Amino acid sequence: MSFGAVEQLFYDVSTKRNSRAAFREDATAFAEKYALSELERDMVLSMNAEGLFEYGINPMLLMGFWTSVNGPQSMPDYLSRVPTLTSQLETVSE
Amino acid sequence: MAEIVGGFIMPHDPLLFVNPKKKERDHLIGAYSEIRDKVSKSGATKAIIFGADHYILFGPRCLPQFLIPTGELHGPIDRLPGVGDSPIASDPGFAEYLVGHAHQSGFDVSVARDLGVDHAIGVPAQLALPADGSVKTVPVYMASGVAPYVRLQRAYDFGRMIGDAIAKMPVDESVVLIGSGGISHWVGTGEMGRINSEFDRKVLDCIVSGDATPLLSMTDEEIMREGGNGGMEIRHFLAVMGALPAGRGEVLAYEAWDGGVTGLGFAEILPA
Repeated sequence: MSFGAVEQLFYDVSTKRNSRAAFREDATAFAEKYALSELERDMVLSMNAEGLFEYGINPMLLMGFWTSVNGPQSMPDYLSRVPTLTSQLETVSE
Repeated sequence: MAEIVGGFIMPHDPLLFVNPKKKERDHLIGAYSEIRDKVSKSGATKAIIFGADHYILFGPRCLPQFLIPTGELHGPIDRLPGVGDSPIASDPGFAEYLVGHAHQSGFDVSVARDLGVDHAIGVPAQLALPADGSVKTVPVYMASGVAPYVRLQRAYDFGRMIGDAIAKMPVDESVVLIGSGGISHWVGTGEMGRINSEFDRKVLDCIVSGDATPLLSMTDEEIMREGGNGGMEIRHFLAVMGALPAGRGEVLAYEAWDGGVTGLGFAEILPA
């Protein structure tokens, strides 16, 4: 599990212009720079917001990554995919 | 001798400035101006602003529980319409005094020698303090946006420590404290857009009464359920309350503004 590497990738894409451009140009090559598991790489490259949220990625960071890649106009699409915090809390408490 | 001359809480919701739905907001922007006037009339010379990083400044490789910048300041680096990235009057000597007092008091705060702040600090610094730089700002970043979160009691105790530090300053200074944060809001989760006015009122009632006990007795899970992940920012209010124990408050403005995603509360806390 390399949870921190996923968040580092998201942080870099969200906060660094060069990283954002590199991810948009060739996401697969960009992701190779991070020690991601196969599952993590698949979720990142497929922009699997639901899976990444349930994996425990900070939702603020996940949203920032999503909009950095897809633009702020993609927020409705993001929100249609991402689960609720309540559902995550119920999973934890089960 | 230094003294605290007032405390305030206020939001820093970026959507209030972006205003994508073009909703009426002048009365909310005006609340910042009202606080700025109050700060000016108080004779304040220093401000301490408690806020959270939004995974903008601090990355996964270093996530401080408490951080005080001790150098020059500017921000917000995440520029907003009407709130540009501009210099913020700082006081490195005061910041270093607070760091030293924190370390002597059991709070091993981190420091940043040079920092561009995000909107949590930049919005109140640019909108609620005099524009002439007469009030020097020291930000305090608390882990309220990214886990592991500062414990609620620890946030309150940190505020008490700050109050003690100010009381022991050997020079005449007048200090205002600002707790920067939205009340209920969900950021990046499926609930985003929900505002829980009931939770917001509970928080504001505590500020008005000066009784932090109901807030301190909440669990993080309760806050997450009722106030969202953004509601964790009530830690910043608790820090101000800790520095002003039993100080009663007055709500200056509150709205579950439908142009954004956050319960927006503006309040003043007066020293007891």
